[in-house]
Amino acid sequence: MRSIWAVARQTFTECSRRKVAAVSIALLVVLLGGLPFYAVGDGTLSGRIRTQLDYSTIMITVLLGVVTLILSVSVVCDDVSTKRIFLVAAKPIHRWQYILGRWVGVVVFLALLVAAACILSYGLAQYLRGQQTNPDDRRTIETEVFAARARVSPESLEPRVQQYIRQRIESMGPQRYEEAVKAFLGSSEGGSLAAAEQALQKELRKQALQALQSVPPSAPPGGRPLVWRFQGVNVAGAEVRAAAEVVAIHPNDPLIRFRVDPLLVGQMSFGGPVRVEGVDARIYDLGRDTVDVMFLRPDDMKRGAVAGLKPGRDATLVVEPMIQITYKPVPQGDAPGGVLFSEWQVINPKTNEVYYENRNDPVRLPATLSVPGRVVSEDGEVVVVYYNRVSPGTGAGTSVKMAWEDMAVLYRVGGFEWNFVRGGLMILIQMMFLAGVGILTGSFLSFSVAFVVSLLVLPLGLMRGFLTDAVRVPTDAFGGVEGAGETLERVGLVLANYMVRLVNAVLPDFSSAMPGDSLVDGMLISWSQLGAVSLYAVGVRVTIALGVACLVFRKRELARVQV
Amino acid sequence: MVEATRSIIETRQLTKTFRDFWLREKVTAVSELDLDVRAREVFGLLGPNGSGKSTTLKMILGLLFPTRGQIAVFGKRPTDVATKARIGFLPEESYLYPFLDAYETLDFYGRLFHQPRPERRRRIEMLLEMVGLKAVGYRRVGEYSKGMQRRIGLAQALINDPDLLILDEPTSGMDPIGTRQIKDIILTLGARGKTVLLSSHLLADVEDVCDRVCILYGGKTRRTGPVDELLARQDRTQITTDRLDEATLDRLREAIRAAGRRVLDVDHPRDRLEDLFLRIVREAQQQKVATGGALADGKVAEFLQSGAEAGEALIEKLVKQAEPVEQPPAEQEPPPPPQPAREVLESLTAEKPAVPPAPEPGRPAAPSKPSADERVDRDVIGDLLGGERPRKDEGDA
Repeated sequence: MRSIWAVARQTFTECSRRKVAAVSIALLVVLLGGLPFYAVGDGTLSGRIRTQLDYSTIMITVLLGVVTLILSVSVVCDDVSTKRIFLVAAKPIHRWQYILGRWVGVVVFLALLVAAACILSYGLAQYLRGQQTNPDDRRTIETEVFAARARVSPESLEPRVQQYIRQRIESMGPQRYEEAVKAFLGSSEGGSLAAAEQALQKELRKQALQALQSVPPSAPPGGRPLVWRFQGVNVAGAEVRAAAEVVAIHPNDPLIRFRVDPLLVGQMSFGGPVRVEGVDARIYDLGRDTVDVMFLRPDDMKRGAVAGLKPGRDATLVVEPMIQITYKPVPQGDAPGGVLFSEWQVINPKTNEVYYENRNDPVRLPATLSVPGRVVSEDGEVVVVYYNRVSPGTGAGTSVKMAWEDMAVLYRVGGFEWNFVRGGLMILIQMMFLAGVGILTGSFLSFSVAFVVSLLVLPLGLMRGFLTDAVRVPTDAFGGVEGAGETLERVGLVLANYMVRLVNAVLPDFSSAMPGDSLVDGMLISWSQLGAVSLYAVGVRVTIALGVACLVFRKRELARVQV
Repeated sequence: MVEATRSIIETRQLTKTFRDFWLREKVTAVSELDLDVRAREVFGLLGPNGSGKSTTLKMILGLLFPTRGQIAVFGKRPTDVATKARIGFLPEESYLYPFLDAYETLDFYGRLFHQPRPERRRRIEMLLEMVGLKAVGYRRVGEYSKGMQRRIGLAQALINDPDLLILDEPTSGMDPIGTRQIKDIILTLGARGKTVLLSSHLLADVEDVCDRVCILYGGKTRRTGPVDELLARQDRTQITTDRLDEATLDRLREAIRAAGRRVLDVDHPRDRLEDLFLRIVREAQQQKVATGGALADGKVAEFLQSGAEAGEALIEKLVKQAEPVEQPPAEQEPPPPPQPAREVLESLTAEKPAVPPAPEPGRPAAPSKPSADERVDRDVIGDLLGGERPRKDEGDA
C-alpha cells in the first residue's frame, strides 16, 4: 500500500506540474466563466441556468476527459520512453503497484480538477439564481431546477392496448380478419403469412395507442377523460407547521405577506401549496424571511380565522409537501390561440380527496402541475384525471394527444446541492474509467498510438445508443432467398452488430452517466444510481482494464531494444 | 533457478538475443555468460561499446528477460521485490523526473524503500551534502547540468544503503571531483563489506577500485579474474622511493646487475592530473569562490561509512527497519587477494628503511592496495579490448 501511495503522490505532483494541466484549468475557467454571459437559452432566467448547467457538465466531461487521457497515457508511456522506469523498476516495488499507483495519482488529481470545475459551475448557477425574474420563472427555477425530484411513471398502458386490439379483432370476425391479413400480405416485405399478420397487429397497435392517448374537446361538466394511475409516490417529509407574522395584506388581491423563520422559507417552494389558518393557498413569492401567500379564490380572505388577520398578528402556516405532474399536450388539429384548456382532478384513491385545477397551456411544450402531497395515499397511490376543455370564450377546441411516456409524477426528495455533488461524482467516475483505459493503452503502446486508441473511447462511449440503433439487424437477417449482394450486405450488418455488441460490452454508456440532463430538469441522481454506475464503470471495467495493464506490464521488458 | 551460493550474483549460460519487429533474432547482445560476483567484492564488467555490459546489468535488474540461461541475485530471481530492497542502481544516464527537485526526487525513491520519514530525511540531507547539491536542493532536477543529475542519480542509488550496488558507467558525465567521489564511495562500501558491480569502459576507474573484473567482447567473456593477477607483469619489478642521489642510484644499479637483472628505466614519477585537478578545486573551495554547480566536500555520507555515529549496528538496524526484507546469513570474508612477491624489493632496500607515502588529506584511506602506477600494464587490457590501447594521460584522467 505504501508503495502504491508513494507512486500516487509522485504522479499527483507530476500531473500538477505539467503544462497540459495548467492549460486545461485556464481553458475551463475561461469557458465555464463565460457561460452565463453567452449561453442565454430560451431567454428566460431558468433557461439561462439550465443552459449553463447543461453546457458546463458537457464541457467538464469532454475537456477533462481529454486531459485524463493525455495524463493517464503519458504517465506510463513517458516513464518507459525516457527510461525513468529503470530507476523505479529497480526499486522494491511490484509492477502492479506501480500501475495502480499511477492510476490512483491521476484519479486524485482529476478529482481535484472535477471538484474545482464543479464548484465554479455551481457558483455561476447560484449567481444566476440570484438575478431578478418574474414569479412564474422563479417558480420554475426553484421547483424544477434547484431541486432533486424523483420520477414515477404511470401504470403501463399495455394491458389496455392488448384489450383494445382483442376487441377490434373480435369485432372484425374471422373472415374480415383473414381479409385484412391478406391485404397486408401484399404489402409486406418478407411475403410470409406470419409477417403479414405481424404487420396487421402493428397497425392495430398504432390505432390503439392513438385512441387511448387522445381525447376530444368537451365543455364542462362531463366529457371523456384520460386517466392515469401512479403507484410508489413517496412524498418526502411531513408537513411543516409554523407561526408567521402578517406583514401586509393586499388591498385588492387575495394576497398576504408573512414574515417567517428563514429556515421555514427553505421548506417552501414557489407555487407550492400552503394552508393559512386551515385555508388552502399558494406560495406566490419568497424572500429571505418573507413569504407572499395567495388564496385560491378572492372570498377565501373572508373565511374562518383568515378574516381576522391584520398586520402585526400571528397566523399558523402549514407547508405541505408537494408533488408535480408533468405532461405534454399535443393538439391533433388547430388549437385556438395556440392554447389548450384543460381541467385536472388529482384524486387520493383511499380518502377520495380531490384537488381541482383548470389550466391553459401552450401547445407541444412540457407543462407542470403542482398539487399538494395529501392527494397521495398512504401507500403512495394517486389517480390523475384529465379533461380536454373547449375555450371558455369561443367554445372552440381540438383533440389532444397526451403521450403516456410524457406523463410523470415528480416529487421532491432532496436538495440541489447534494444532487450536484452526485452529478460531479458521476463525471469523476467517467474520468476514473478513462484513466484506466489510458493506463492500459500506455502500458504497452507508444504515446501517440495509445492516445489515439484511448481517444476513440470517448466518442464511442457517448454514441453507444446511436451505434446500436444504426446497425440493428432485422430478425430475419438470414431468412428468405436473396442474391449474393444482399447476402454480403446482411453478413456485413451482422458483423457490425457483433462489433457494436463488443463496444457495448467493453465501454460504459457515457450518455446515461452524464449528469447534465438530470441537473437541468431538477431530477434526482440517486446514490443507488451513482452506485450502479460506479460498480459497472469503475468496479468492473476499470478492474479489468487495470488488471490487463498489470499483466501486460509485468511481462514487458522495460529496457527492450527494437533492432 | 540457480541454487543460492556465496555468490551474490550468479549467471549460467546467460544469453540475450534482441529481435526485430517480425520477431526474427537479429543481435545476440550476451552469449552464454557465466558470471559470479562474490559477496564483499568490487566487480568490474569491462568491455567496449556494444559488448553486452549494460544488457547484462539490465538482466540482473530484471529490466530485460534472458533469452536463455539463468540469473540469481542473492539466490533469487532478479524480479524478486525483497531482493531489490537490497540493491542500489545507478544507470548509465540519470533518468530522473525533471519536474521534481532534488529533495522530492530522493524522497520519492526513499518512500519506495518504505523508509520512515525521519530516517528518510536524515539520509536525504546527508546524501545531498555528500554529492554537493544541498545548496541547490530545491531547484528542479530538469534545470541541473548533466553532471549534477548524475550526482542525484548516485544519491538515489545509495538511499537504501544497499548491500549490492550496481553502477552502469558510473563516472560518465562526472567531473573529476565526482569521479573521485564515486571511487571513494565504492572503496568505502567495499571496505564495509558491500558488494559492488560496475560496468565501464574507463579502464583507470575500474582499475582503481575493482577487486575482480570480467572483460566482455561481443557478448562473451574474454577474461575473468582478480585485477592484480590480470595486470601484474611477473617478469618486471618497479621500485618507488624518495628522490635518490646518483651514488645511491649507482649502488642500486649495481645490486640489480649483481642479481643478474637489467635496469630498464630510471625516471622521476609524475603527479597524476586527477590529483592536481582535485588540489586546485579544493583550494578554490577553501577560498569560497562563487559557483552555481555542485559543492561536494568529498566526504562520504555518514550512514554509508562504517562506524559512523552510533556505529555499524545502528545503521544495520535502521536499514532493517526501512527494508522489510529478511537478511541472509552474514557472508564470509573472502580470502585476501594474493600479494606480489616482495623479496627482491626488501633485499634492495634493507639499507634504508622504507618511508611510506603520506596519505592525502581529506581522502579516506583506501584499502592497502598498490597504487595504479606500481602495477599497471595497460597493454593487457588494451589487447583484450581489440587493440584499443589507452594512452597514459587518458588512463589517469
